[in-house]
Amino acid sequence: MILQIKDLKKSFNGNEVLKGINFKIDKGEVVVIIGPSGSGKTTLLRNINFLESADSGIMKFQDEEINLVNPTKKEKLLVRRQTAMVFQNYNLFKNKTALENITEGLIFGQGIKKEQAVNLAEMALDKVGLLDKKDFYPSQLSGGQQQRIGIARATVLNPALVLFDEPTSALDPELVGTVLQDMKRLADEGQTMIVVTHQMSFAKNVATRVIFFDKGEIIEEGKPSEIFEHPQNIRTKEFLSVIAEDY
Amino acid sequence: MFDMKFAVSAFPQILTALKVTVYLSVIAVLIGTILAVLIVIIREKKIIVLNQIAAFLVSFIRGTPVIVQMYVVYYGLPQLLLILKSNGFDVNPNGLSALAIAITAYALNAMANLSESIKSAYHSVDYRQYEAAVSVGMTPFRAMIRIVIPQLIANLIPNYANFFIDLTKDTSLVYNIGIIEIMAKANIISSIGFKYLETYLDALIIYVVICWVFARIFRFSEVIVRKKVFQN
Amino acid sequence: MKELKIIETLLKGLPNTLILIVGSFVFATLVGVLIAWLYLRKHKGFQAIAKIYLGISRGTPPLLMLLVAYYGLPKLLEVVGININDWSKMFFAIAGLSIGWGAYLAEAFRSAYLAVDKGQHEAGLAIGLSNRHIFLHIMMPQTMLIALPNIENLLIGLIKATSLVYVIGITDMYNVATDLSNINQGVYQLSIFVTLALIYWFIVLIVEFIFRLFRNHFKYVTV
Repeated sequence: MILQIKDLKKSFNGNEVLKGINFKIDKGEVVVIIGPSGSGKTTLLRNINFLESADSGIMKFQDEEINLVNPTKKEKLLVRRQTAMVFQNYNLFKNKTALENITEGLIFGQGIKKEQAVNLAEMALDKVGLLDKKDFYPSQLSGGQQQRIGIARATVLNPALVLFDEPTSALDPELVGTVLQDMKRLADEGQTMIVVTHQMSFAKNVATRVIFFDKGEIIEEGKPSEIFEHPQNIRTKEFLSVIAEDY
Repeated sequence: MFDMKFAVSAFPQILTALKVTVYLSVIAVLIGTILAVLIVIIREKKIIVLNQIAAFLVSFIRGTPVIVQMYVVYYGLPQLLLILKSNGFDVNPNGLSALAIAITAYALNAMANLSESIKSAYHSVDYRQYEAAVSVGMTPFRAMIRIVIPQLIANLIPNYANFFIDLTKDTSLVYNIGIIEIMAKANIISSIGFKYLETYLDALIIYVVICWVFARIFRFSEVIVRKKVFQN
Repeated sequence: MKELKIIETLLKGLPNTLILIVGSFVFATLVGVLIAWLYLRKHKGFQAIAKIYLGISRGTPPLLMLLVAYYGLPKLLEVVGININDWSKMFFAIAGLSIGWGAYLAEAFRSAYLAVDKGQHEAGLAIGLSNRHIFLHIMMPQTMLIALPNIENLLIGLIKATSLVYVIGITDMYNVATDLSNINQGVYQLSIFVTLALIYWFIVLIVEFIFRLFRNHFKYVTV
């Protein structure tokens, strides 16, 4: 068991965005969360690495039990150094090169020596096929390239869990494919992943479990074939019927 | 230590000079604005020779202290008029009032600085707005007047306001050539009994308040202009 | 040639002018960072202090700031028993200019900091970097880059403002020029001030050149 969440609640300005979520993910699982915009999927993800704070709830991360309401600095660092996030807007450090974007976390977040960090970073860049761009700045790269570097930055140390927050939503259609390919490769290598996305093909083909999320709650979850071919809940059926499928 | 009584009694006396300060600022900025528009047109249309002269003037005026500019005009304008007179123009180099010199110097300063502000406000308006306007049949002139210029003005106001306030503060230097505005009044009064700090603090309060008033006026007009331009 | 003599004389005031420029810019930057920091805190009291300071500074002519610093600081410190009446005039000049320009720089720093993409900070957190590291290595460099054009304009404004220190009796380039002009009645007065203007302009052009080099060096970092 990598992560377990119990009764996570969160309100923004009186709006209940997360209504008591119970959630579990085991090693090697690829959990894809689908659902309408504003349903709270991103907030759920951001609570896991404490980019958002919770109103109530408990998290069990590997063997640590952490209170989600007021986690200590130590607890936050523990989770953040063993998880990684890939952002919708890539969020590469604009004043650092591609290589430096990866080494920054290794050297100053994980305490790895510079030489080794550079080696690891170069290997990670090579894996996504962008080693030749290592000295380029984000502004000189396409969105797809930036996002793949974001993925390299996230996975360089094979973290226990990688969180993907709508990783392809900001990309031009022709660039989406390469990023999804990298994500599939990670899944095949056994990386534990939680992916929030609108890319149904990814959910169908790569996920080990699909969760349908709406209005702050988990409506239905199960294997991709179960959810997409035999949805049980009426809201799931409604959602799936209006999703336009491109590929 | 600090003579509060004196400070309070001196205040209204210094205040009488406020109208000179405001008058000078407003006239100089108005003239400067008109000149600035000319400069922008010259530079945008890249009219040969004039373009280079304009660019040089703008860079030179923006790169030199106001007080130095004031003295260049103070010593230079009479000489210029002298040259004009000897070429047959009917001007009187000896009749130049200090106020005329101050207005000339500050208007030129405004011309240079405002031309930069107007230029950047002009470029901040999306070019596609103009394209859309002419593609529906408007003449270029109409497109400028109805679409581009209003947006330009809306974007210009913050920088314009900042410069106007800076110029108002810079008028504190004209006492050097004999104009009785706020600083001059403060100097005159403080020399009675050497009470410098008191009069200078009075002057400071007056400047802070008048600048704040101008800032408010500009912010208010920005709201009005934006409403009219973008919601019409 | 008389013109060369003018230049030679004016340059005698250059050292003081340069000291004023560098000294005031350094202290104004320190003040600016402090005030920006105060303003950015969520603390209402700190913000109020910053706002009042900014409001007064932006409404005060630099000339008056110098005078108030010169006459006011000694009186102010007298209250706490410190006597600075004998301190050099340079101190008061730098103090006056720094207090004024610190306010403008604070605004430049603050608006630049707020303009940095928040996602940068979040990405840093997500990979386990400390807040301190993110601030120093990610947020600060990007803040400086965004603020650069404003800082350039403010530095140029500061250079021009140093000409006002004549009012507390310091012999900078401008003061040398007025002395020279008073000694020489007649036609040289115009050329004295035109030459002085050209020297200031030259300094400003150098500053603009340096900033352009700086911008070019970082042209691949688009923030």
